[in-house]
Amino acid sequence: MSESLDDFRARARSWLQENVPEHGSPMEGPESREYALAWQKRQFEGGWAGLTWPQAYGGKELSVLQQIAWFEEYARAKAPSTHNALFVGMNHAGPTLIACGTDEQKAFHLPKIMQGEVIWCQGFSEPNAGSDLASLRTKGLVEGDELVVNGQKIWSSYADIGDYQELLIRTDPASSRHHGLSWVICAMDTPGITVRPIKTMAGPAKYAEVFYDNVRIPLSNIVGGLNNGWKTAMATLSFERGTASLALQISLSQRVEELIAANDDAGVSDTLMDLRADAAALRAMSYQFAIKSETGPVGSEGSMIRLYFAELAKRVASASIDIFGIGAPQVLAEHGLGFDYFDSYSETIAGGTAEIQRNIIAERVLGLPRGSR
Amino acid sequence: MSIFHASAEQLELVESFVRPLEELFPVARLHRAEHTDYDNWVTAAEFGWFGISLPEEAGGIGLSVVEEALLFAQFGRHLISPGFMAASLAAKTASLSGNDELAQKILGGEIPVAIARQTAAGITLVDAENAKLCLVISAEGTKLFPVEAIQQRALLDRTQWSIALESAALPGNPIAQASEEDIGASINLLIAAQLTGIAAATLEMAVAYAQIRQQFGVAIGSFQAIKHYCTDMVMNVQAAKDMLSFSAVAMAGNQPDHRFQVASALVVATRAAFFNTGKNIQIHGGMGFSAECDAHLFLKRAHVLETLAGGLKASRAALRAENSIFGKDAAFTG
Ligand SMILES: Cc1cc2nc3c(=O)[nH]c(=O)nc-3n(C[C@H](O)[C@H](O)[C@H](O)COP(=O)(O)OP(=O)(O)OC[C@H]3O[C@@H](n4cnc5c(N)ncnc54)[C@H](O)[C@@H]3O)c2cc1C
Repeated sequence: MSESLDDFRARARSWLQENVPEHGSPMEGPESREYALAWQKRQFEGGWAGLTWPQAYGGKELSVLQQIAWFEEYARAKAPSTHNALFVGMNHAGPTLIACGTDEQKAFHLPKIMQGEVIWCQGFSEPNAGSDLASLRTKGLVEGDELVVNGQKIWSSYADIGDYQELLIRTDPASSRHHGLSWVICAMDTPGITVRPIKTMAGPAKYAEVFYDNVRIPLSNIVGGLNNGWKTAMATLSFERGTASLALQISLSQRVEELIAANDDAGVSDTLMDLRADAAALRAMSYQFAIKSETGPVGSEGSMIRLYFAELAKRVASASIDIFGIGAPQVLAEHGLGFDYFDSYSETIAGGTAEIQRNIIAERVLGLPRGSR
Repeated sequence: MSIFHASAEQLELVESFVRPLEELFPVARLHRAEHTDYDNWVTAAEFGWFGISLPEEAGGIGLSVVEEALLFAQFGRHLISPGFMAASLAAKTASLSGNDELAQKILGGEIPVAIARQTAAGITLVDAENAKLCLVISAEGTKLFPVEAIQQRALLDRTQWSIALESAALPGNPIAQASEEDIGASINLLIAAQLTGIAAATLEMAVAYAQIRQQFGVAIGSFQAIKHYCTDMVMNVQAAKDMLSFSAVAMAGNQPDHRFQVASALVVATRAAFFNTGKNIQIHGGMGFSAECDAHLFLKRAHVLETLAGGLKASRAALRAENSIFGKDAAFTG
């Protein structure tokens, strides 16, 4: 007999109550790695890992309504942000392997991700290939049953604490643009890799430069086929925001409520009410999207929710600084509003800038003609 | 699946309701000064449009506010007179006052109703020239008056906002009334629905034009500035539509936070309608600025509906008074 939704919710709530770590994550470095892995392990042991993943790979394959209930309770319990060092593994690499990986790749990697044993990072962007990802130049030449990789990636989040990287490289030297690329699993301890952490405007070193000097990667680490990497990469990007972002979206509503509770000044009330209504609309949109995605492919609508979220997160963060002022204790604190505010500037850059998202929505949702880029 | 959103069956049902709209209410009719939507009043009553969410015993159709909201979004698209919303709210007001006979007559189309908003000075009547009853909305709720009881009526204008506006003094005793608590969410939901329809109609108009209008040898829709306006418009529409459906489902299920959801829907839809109607004019260039183009009609109607809701500022203040389930002491429910 299957559990009712209310019982499921109650079970999630009480588990979270007992298990959510008391302290927030350390901001960077090995401590942040240990924290993230320990939290993932605990969720796995409690039976709360891989909720959206197929059962064939040890996932729970929950219904959308259960996922929603879980993430509502997750946000309510103020559990660690899902936008942490586990994000790439849980939300990009895992789903990409499920969609495009070989049986061996899935059997080896998926349990490690779910059980909190490994951190993944993403190596797509390069100094000269950002929005124009297809212009990337890091090379991998086939030598026997290996690829020999040379080049440089940048802005790779958590690369300094990562075990594996989703690495997108040019494996056909004669190719250009999105032809001749490959998506490979790169073990970060392979000889020839140098990682240089980069500090962000919010303080911590969250992302890194990665240099590859004759790095040898087995051909069996290619995901989705040699020279077919663009397709795999597009799959990865489409997983960028799954239902995991529901928890982030709900915490946005919570933050707006905290601002409203803290503020009675009529001057900013209009702004706060717009934020409140928009956060409610974001929730309505995400639930609609989640419900629809359970019954069939949903196309590029996800880009709208992603962009709506990004811009709303920035507005909420900026309103909190207006309300409290730059010197307030809750602004200056570690994990405080000041950190959130600075960090929010990345929302409209990381994972495809707001401008690029707008191009995508205009062309794929509205069907407007492609322009020159 | 309908705990959060309108179900496929509900959407389908409303599809069947809206089929006659394009023929009966083409937007172009608003360019003719002599047109009046009250010509189709009885037809609308016969379709059951005034009593979608009232029970069948009370003369309604016996569906829910979800179907009603979806239908009124279509009314918004077609710029149907706010009098049609007055009919629905008047029937509810009569029924809440225990006057079922009056409710039945309104639903049957026997007594055309107009809508008005109470202001500091008195009341502002909208499209009231063919009505026999007038439903006055205020922050306290609704009051229903016979039109002949309304004194000092003066035509303010009939062209500027593309609809007749009159001022009048607030009359004395209503023949029926409903408190804000009982009817406020219904008012806000129907206005939010029409504003959502306006936002959607102007998005479609803008995108269609951006695909056919050529400058510099290419469709203007290939220019990023135009694309990005259109993207903001479609996000507004998505947000307003989903918020409308979500809030209507919450209201139909009498969820504890339904007033919060509906108040949010009104704020989101109002801002969506203003943004989209404005950008639609911009995207149409010189033609968008002309009286001949439909674009201004949508902008003007958005203002009229916003006024009937009491103004965006008041809508925000009303939202402030509600509790979110994400607030401090609030409990989450499924
Ligand atoms: C916090 C953070 C984490 C990140 N993590 C990772 C990661 O883990 N792995 C990874 O590979 N990358 C990561 N990135 C990189 C990110 O994907 C890129 O920064 C992003 O794609 C933009 O590329 P760029 O920085 O080269 O900017 P550019 O592409 O140079 O863009 C500069 C400006 O030009 C605009 N622009 C560019 N092209 C167009 C166009 N066609 N139309 C309109 N405007 C345009 C952009 O919108 C932007 O405003 C991260 C970035 C941040 C901020």
